[in-house]
Amino acid sequence: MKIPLYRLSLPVLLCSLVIPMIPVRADHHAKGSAPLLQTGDRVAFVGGGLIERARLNGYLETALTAGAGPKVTGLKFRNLGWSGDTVFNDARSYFGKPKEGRDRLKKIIGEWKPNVVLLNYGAEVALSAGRAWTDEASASKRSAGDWDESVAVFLEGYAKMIEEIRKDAVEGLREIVVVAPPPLENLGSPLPDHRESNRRMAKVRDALQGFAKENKARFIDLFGAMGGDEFDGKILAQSLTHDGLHFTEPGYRELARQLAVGVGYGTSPSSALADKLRERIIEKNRLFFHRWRPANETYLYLFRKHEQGRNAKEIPQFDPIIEKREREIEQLRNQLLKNSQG
Amino acid sequence: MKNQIFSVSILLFIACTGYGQRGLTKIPDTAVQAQLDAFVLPEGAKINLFASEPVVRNPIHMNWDSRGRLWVVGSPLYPHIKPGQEESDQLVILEDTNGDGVADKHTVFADDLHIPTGVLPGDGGVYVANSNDVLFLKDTDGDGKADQRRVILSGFGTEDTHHIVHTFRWGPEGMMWLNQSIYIHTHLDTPYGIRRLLGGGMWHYRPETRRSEVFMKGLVNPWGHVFDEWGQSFMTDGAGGHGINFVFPRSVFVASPGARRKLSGLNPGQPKLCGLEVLSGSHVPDVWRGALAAPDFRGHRIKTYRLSDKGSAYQSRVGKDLVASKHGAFRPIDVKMGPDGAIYVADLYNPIIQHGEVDFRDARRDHKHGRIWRISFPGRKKSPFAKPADMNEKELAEALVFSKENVQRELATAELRTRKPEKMLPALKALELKEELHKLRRIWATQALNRFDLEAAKELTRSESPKARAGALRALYYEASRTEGLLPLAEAAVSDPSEQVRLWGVSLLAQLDSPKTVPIALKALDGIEPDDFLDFAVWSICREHRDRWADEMKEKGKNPFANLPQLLFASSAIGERLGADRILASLSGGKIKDDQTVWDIANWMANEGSSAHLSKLLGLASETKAVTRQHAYLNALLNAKKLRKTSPSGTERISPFLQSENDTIFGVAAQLAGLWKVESSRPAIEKILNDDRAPTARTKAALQALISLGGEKTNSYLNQLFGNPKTPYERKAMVVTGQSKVQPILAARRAVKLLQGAPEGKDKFGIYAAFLGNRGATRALATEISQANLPEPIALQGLQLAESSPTRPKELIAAIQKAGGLKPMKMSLSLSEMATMIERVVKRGDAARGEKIYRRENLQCVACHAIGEVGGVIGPNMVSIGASAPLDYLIESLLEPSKKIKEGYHTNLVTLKNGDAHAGGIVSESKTELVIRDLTGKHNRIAKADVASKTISPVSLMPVGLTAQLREDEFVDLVRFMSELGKEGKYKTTTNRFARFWEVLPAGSPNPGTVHHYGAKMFTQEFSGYKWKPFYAMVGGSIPVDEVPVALKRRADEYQVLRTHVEVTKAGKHKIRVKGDSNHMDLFLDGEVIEIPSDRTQTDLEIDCKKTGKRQLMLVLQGAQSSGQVSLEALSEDLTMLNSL
Repeated sequence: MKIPLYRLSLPVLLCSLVIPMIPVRADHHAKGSAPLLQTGDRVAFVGGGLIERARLNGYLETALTAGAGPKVTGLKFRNLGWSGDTVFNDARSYFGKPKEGRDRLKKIIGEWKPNVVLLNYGAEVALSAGRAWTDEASASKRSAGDWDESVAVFLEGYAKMIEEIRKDAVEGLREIVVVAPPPLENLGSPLPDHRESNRRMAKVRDALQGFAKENKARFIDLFGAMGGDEFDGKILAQSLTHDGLHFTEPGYRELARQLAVGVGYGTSPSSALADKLRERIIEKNRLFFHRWRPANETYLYLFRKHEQGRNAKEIPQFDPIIEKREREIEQLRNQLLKNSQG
Repeated sequence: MKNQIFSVSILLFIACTGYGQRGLTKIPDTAVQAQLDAFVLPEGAKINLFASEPVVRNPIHMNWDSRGRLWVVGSPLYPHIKPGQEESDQLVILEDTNGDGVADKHTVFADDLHIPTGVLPGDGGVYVANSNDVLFLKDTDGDGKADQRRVILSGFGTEDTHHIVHTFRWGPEGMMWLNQSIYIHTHLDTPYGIRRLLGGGMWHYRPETRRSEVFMKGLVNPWGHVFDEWGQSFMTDGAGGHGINFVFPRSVFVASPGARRKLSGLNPGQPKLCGLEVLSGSHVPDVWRGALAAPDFRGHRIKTYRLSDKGSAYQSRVGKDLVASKHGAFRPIDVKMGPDGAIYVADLYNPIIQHGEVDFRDARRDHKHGRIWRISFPGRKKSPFAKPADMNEKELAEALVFSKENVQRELATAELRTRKPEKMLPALKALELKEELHKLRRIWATQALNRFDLEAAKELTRSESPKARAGALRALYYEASRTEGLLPLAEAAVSDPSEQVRLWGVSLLAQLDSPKTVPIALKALDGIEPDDFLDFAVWSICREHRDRWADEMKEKGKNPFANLPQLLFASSAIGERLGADRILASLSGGKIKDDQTVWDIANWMANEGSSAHLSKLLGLASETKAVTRQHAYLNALLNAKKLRKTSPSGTERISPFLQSENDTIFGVAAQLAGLWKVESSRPAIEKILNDDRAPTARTKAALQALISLGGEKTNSYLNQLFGNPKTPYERKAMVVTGQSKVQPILAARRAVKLLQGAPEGKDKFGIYAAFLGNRGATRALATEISQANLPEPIALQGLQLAESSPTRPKELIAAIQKAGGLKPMKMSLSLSEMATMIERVVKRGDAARGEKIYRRENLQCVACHAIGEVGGVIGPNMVSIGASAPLDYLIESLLEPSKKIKEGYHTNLVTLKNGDAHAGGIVSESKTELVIRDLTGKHNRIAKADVASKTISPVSLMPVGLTAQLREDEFVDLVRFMSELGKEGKYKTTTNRFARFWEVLPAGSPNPGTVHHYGAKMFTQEFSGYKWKPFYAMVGGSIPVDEVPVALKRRADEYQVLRTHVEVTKAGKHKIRVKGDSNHMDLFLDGEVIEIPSDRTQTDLEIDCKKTGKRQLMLVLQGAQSSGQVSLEALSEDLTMLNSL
């Protein structure tokens, strides 16, 4: 089979995803199906490795910024993904407990004050059946327990994280988007067979759907959109991941298309200009990474600050460079959207 | 007064002409020739430049590919990218196309990297460590440059850029091995779930399955890893100082966060090492072949070590240096055997290393240069090498299994991974194998192809060779998750005659999914005296697989173990009290004979026992007459009370112990009586305090007990004691220190009075220390002192102590300054003062005099810092400080110890709810307890429940103002001495195996009165009056005779007595060398005299060691030594001088 299933099922997905979402949102927001992004929005991506690696190719951000259309301007994006992260923010902690990781997330949310936060968690839970996926003391043992218990812990932690993000971002936060993780791929032995994991992924997706509603968040089903519901364990000839879990560049391009569709945006065809925009976004992400997650934190901000903390003065010097890149991004985006209109 | 002399001389410096910063920026000559001229090489060796800048800059890591090309990553960006700077570090491929030993072709494969610290060609591309990520780069169009870039692993921490993921290597089994260091916290998203490693440790990664697992944890900077020929792993540490570390699955070493237990390396007291390689192949002369080469990047040299079997692990012995340099920028940080059999050395080239102590942007840091050196032996043939990339299946199979050249086999393994298994397997199968090693290699090859030959591995576990059995078990270890039926194999292995095989049996068991793993693993301890490594492995599985046995035992009372020692081991390993009733019953039934087991049980009960169990212990203590057992039980009761607030019933049963003639028993019993509030014990305690002749230890314990008992009775007794003019000063000081916590205000008022009238102007009885140890007491003392005056010397002492106290109490410091009329201590130097000081050190400093100063007792350098194998472990080892630290850093650290604190020597400050402050390194940690090693090396156990806060103190444990007592010329000499340490010359520790750790009898030691009868031999006999004190040899290995106290004077005879210990690994006659005037010395081995011919100054002697194990050597000096020095050196391979207690 040459054409992956998800391509065939796109129109179907559009109906099944976008349409049922509208009444859900109508329940909680008077705005009805208002577009996700508005002029001047600050958008944060938060999640694990899927989000973290997205910074290296820029597809997700490019799709959203282009998808928002010419009337929406001045968008800013920050990739706050962190490999190995959980809803307790384990991976964001350095020398302390997961709580330190939560505090690090809260700090950046509090400082940057996003209007829109896209969250992606859940694959780590599906992949860790019977094994603790967090070190958070109150949750670790339960996370290693039976599947239902593990999911319950996940949802509790997720709800708490959303609550804290809302608190830290204060009044400016308009939208939380819960993104269900895309399915895993079977690439054949000796890579693992993900049939079981994908069954669990589907359950995570199901749980997140209701969860999003309860937590007044939008929901985007990348699991379904990327063909998770049709997954039959067959080994793919054309894969979008290089190990079943991590997406290749073409994989991210497809994810980005599905994300755009999921929030009700159109998808724009690839072009030299779009690639140029994406390149600039990648460069901005690179700079922001050095700004937000600099190396040598031990010396810059932590317990060896008294030795080399004076070097921390360099870190904010990334800001004007990032701003310059963002102005270039804005220009390229205007050009791109003008062209596509014309 | 001495204290002032130095400050005055600092003022004088200021008057001197400004010297500018030239003294600081003395950058070594960057010319290649300058480096070539500075090398010191062994006979027959030659060094040449293989490659250098601008092709290679600041190289960090390198590996060969299967076409014989060297891939090198370097980082001018290190230590930190600047805003606006591109990620521009390079990966370069170097090639020697004409075989002349010089790279004549280079290709920049990638030039957009960010501090790449590891490189490993293979799988048709190359793996590169790129800070947070491991990348796989590939050239798909054949232009020699990477055009495909894929993140393979992400989530490595970057909290410190010299700790980031590094030390890539292909294992013989075809996995990629990678390490990370102390501050790194890694969270990998893998297709098997998240894998985390917090702190240092080693991973293995199989690219085709994308499975990453943690192999071992800990080590500060594990910058080196090799496999020996049987596939066992050894690591070096760039900060730990234990030389070679033997590591195995689940082993845990220094600096692993939250570790309950840690293993040690094989060579304590070695310099910090970066990189590790086995010297191998036919080009290398026999004397070097098989040695492990490890760069000592601080000391500008490459050290070597040799391994031999010992118990379940190995012993490692220091060999000669492979290469050394007098050039201050030569920084060997990686060493690899080349395809031609020569030894290749990556030289980071930098006068400044790391960035914790020296500023990120220090101008002396080099970002331009870099060298790859090649060490060859021109008299010898090159090693044969064929490019594995060009081999057909048969050739490749033969190279993999039969080649005698390590590098050939390693590169063949990398090549094998790119070949089709269907083609390779028949070629491998066709080989006819006789040797066990070859069989193991073929098994590895099948593993590298991911077509593991399970049957061959199973068969090899039954080999005659223990090395092969261990190797086969390790191969099975990786396959355990996808292989059934391995339990019987593991079960056979744990009872193997070889302890190394047992260790691998236990390691394999830990991978298996059976309810019986723990009882089986415990069999590994049967019938042997297990060493720490095997003991650790069994302890570890007991804990990891706890749920498989403990719950069932708890609920159903089912004891899965074959005997009581096993139950005791398992239960105390998991920190629970399972089976305690059973064990205590056999204890009271007299079934347990040896004292060590009694102590083990008592300690276990101290940690885990219920009140009823403790009552039983108290009963047992009352029944036994044996002092050591009484001590074991009472000590356990004390720990249970202190750490868990658990007490037995019937506490008044402690009273009889207050009559004990043994001071230790009395002391523990008194503490218990106080803490348990046994009122009836009060008279017995007061009796001691009323007795002026009672030993100090007893008095202290009695006083403490009285204070613990508390109440009005205690107060009035102490008031009367303090008020009595006949009470001696020392006892008053005890009262004050004892009361400092319970009645701080009263105690502080009294303390000030005592300090004002301190004899000789010194606080000899620790009054300041007691108040500084508790926050409430510190505050009270500050209040009292602020309203008083103090004599200057006593104020100065207080100021020094307060300044170096981890809590650094501001109020107290201010109060003391005011009370003593002291100016604030200004110990820092201005730039021009520093430059002048540096000039003086260089021009006038005398290292020999400096060593004498370093060794002075009142400076206490030796008490905390080791140089090489011997000395204290509180501060960093000074073995190569001179070679690594710039002079300004040395001077600054002596004057302001807290300004830069060495990695791993940060002090944890733990404050308890009662205000007590404990500072030091955390030795171990459990759910309920924290063990802290304090400044004196003492281990303090603290109940976690009592902890109010735990922080990292910005204050060094090194006391401030230690050097204030020195004259300026003395200070200059001291710095000069330190600056020579580790440099080529007299102050680099040699490989000679001198006895470096001695014990001496103090001056005026009591005389058992039999010297007329036995002569010098008298000192070899046990005598309770001897109080042996540690004594260290000088860096050169000799003992300065004038520093050895005269233990006994009898008429005209003066005796200086020294003893040391030696470990005999093989019984027989062994050689030692004694230097010193033989007419004035006697030597004894375990009390038997060893004759030394007369009129000698150096003698090689044969000593007859009939038994293996630890033996004592004693040296008794009578009369002058012409050279002023004596020394003792082991010559035989089977003798090891024991350089610690």
